[in-house]
Amino acid sequence: MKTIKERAVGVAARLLTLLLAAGMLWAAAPRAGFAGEAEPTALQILDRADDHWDLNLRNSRVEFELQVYRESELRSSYKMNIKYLDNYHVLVETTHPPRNQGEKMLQAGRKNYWLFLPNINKAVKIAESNSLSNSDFSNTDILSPRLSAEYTASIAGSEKLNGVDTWKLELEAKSEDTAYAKIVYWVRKGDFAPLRRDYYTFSQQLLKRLDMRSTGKLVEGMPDTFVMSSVLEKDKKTVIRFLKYTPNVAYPEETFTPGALMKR
Amino acid sequence: MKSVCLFLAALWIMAGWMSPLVAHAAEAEVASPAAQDPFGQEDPFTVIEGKPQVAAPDEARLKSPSRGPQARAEVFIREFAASINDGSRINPDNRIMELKRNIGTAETRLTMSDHIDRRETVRWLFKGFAASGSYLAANGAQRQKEARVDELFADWKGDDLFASIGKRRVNWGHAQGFNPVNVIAPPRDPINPGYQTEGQPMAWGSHRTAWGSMDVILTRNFDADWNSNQNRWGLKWGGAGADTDYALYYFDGGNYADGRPYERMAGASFATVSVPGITLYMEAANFARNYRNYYAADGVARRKDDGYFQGVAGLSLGLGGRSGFFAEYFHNGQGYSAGERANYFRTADARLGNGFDPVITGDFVPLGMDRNYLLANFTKEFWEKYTFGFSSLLAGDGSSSTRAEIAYAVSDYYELRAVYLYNEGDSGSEFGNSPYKGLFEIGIKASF
Repeated sequence: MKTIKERAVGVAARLLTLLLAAGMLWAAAPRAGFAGEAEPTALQILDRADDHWDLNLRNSRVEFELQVYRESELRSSYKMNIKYLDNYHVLVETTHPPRNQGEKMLQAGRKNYWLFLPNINKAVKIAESNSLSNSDFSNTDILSPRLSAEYTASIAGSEKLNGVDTWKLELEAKSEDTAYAKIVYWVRKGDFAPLRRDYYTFSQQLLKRLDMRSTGKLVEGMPDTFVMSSVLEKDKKTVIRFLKYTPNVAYPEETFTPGALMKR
Repeated sequence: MKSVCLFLAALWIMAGWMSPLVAHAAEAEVASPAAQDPFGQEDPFTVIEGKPQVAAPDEARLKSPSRGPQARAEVFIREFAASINDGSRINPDNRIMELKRNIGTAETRLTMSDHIDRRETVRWLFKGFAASGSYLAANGAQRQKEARVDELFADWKGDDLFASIGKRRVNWGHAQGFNPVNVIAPPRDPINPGYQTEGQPMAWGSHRTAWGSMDVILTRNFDADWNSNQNRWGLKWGGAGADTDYALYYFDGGNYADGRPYERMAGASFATVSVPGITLYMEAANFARNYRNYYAADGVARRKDDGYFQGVAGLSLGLGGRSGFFAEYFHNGQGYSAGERANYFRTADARLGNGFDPVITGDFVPLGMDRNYLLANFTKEFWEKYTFGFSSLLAGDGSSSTRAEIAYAVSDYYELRAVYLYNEGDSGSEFGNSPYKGLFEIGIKASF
């Protein structure tokens, strides 16, 4: 039979054990809970959102349709191929309409953009802010999907976007070399799907909006439908829709050099 | 009691109105109320509902490892109405060269190519050209009907290596109008942006390293009217920085058939985007020999057997899509000074008075009768169907050549085009002595 002293020591040991266990559980618990998980940082949200397309596009070929709407009417349609090596090495070739067939736009490095005109067999250096085929997309909008290298991100809050819970990120340009001073980015909670971007100029003027959607027809979760709207002219829109996706294409690196444009 | 009830009711209403603002202050601050959304509230994806406007891709064709040959055909049907420059001293009253005032032409271009492997490392290409009789070249010269192979080659791309053999056109240089370093094939007309694709037989190899890309070309020109029919070889080394691309060039070859040394060329070019949207570029070439005829005051032809320099400085401005502007200053050290030009015209007056003289008329080289030129080009696309182009070339003697063009895309396949070229200058100037005063062209282009 245990003495009262032994029982007291036993009870104290159990209490101490319980306290230690509780302390360990407390230490291991997340500091700020979000639905039972740690709240991701703004950079993590940004990276996860951009992973949705960037990781799928590497070493791939995408055939897409570009439709330019003016005054709410379809004004012109193009069909193009993207050959995608990585973030900074992308080749876009126009295949339709026939009068523009063979025109190419190359990104051969972060800020190295070229336009190839087949009728004169000449490659011309261009700026990233040039629009793609007179559309509302600039070269950099379609060729540089990953933003974390050039923008610092902060969480501006949570917001419902068309009934969907989203994180709202504010991206500030790290330098004035970037195409936009600020981007407001809506990312769906739960699966980090990118839904919308608002682009601002360096004078803090809202310029245009990109809405993104994944139909899941090509790759589940990868944005494959894009609508770029202009704030300056409300009836101007350009739609890009991916039609065909071929992953794991191993291109020769030579393909993504300005010299290769001349070699056709 | 009634007033108390009213007061409590007012408090309740106010509390109900205020509570969402208090509870969701952060969200309200960043939310975009419907009335303030600058893009409107419609679902942005409604614009893409329905079927794609472009025909769906041929799945079977795309799934195959090799997608099959790519073919492209273009047909041009043109009608020219020319205004002959009767005051031209090299073709007075149109009696020296007898140029036509109205000409109709039909041209066809066919391009076929295919990548043999899925990785697109091996490829062949054929480009052919055929024109009906009385084909009128951009420089005003007339040609007979012709059919030729512009390009026929095969090439291979490795990760850092490239090799090609066959007949093909290679353009060197960064400038858009004048290209002094572009000596592999005859340079294109800087005020005519149309096709000029005839190539040269060559073997071409390229190696890319961290230090840049080195290109080696061995070629043999069989066109006796241009340069020579001797072996030629060229080197190009090019590199790229964050905003700048640059290249060095060297082109040399064996002596001409009559023993004269080849006019070897050493050149350089670069392009940079220093201001967003604006590209600056320069191109320079030095030629070791000069075999052009110059004329003394007494009409005796002589040659300056020393080198000369050609250089271009320009800028281009992107205006979105296919709209843009560029301007170039071109110095041609091979061109005539004011005195040499006056001597040439005096000599032409005397010799052409006796009838056609192929030497003296052949020495009237377009863009070679002056040493300095200024070129401005503006292209603007409207409504995705209309394209307006305007080019003006000003020579050092004050004469000018202006070209205006408007094109209308009837559909994805057909385009209507009207072009007017006008040469202006006095009887002692370059463009004032152009065989044509004006040239109006109307045509249709079909692309398939």
